[in-house]
Amino acid sequence: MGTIVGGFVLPHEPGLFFTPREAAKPELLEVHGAYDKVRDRIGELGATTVIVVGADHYVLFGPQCLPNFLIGVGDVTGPYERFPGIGQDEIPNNRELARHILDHGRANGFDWAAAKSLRVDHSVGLPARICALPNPSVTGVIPVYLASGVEPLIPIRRAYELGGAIRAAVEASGTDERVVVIGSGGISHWVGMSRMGDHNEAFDRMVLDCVVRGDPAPLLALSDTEIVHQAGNGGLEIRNLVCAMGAMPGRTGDLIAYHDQPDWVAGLGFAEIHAAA
Amino acid sequence: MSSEAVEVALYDLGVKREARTGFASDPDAFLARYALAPEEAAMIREFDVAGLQARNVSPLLTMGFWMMNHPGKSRTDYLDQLRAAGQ
Repeated sequence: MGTIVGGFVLPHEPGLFFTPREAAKPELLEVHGAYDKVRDRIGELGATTVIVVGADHYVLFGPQCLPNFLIGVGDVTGPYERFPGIGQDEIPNNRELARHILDHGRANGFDWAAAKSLRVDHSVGLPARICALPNPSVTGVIPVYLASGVEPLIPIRRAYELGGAIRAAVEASGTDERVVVIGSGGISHWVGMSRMGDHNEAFDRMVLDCVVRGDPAPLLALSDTEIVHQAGNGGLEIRNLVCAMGAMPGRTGDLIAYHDQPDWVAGLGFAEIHAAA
Repeated sequence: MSSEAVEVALYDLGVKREARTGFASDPDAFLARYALAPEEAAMIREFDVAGLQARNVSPLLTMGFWMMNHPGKSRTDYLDQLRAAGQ
């Protein structure tokens, strides 16, 4: 039986990674320190597989086909974007577990879309390369994409339920995998909108507080209109965080860091969700 | 003639090198491949991202289109246009 041994929420703002670390200002180094903390905790948890829940930014999937939720079951490469010092070649997948999650979901009311070959973007590729794969215990990263950036959006409650489906599938697997689930998304940010660069720290901290308390209810009660009003179109990505919460229902956690700088597009929140109730 | 066709054109211009090359060399010929209304084609040709957003085109696409195709490729210029239009 597989076990979900931990969860994390973290941002994936690409602008953070265009600056080489050796040239980074102190505030950026603090953000990198938060990623390092997640990386180290994944190692301490002895994770063997990391599931990264990300958002397409209208790059991977075009208007011709927009999956509600998708899992990569075959070869994976990326990230699509070039960042100094970050590879773009193969990301090892746990194909067996990914296929099991797909099959288990489809047998239980979650009709996954599947990618047999997937070049991921920064939302999955950065956490995979920075936080997951540096740990020798991690032998596979399973990419999951939710429709959390492009209309039509997955309902936020469905994102939470999907996290539960991931958990059920992991626990029904015949392997001894130790699985970490990462919800990858910025909190408040206005991507491509005139308010790009604004943040709403109060909203961001409310979201992180829900994650830390293990209470999804206030987030599930938000309408998309409210989210866009308070946190921009990028705020819709909280679905990814909610999905990770759904994989660890009722579990509490700890805030790792929150950063909010004018130069950055998003409010950057990091938190761990503990497996123990 | 739909916002969907606009999104297809902008998506292609954001992620496909051959689309960008075609648009740069002959915008009208490139845009004729899509089911665009004349005013929609004009907004794309003229980088009217504020007008496109006013027609409910995804900001993800308008920004990607601008950053990958506009001669200046400046995010500041992009935002200036949106803000000048009161978006």
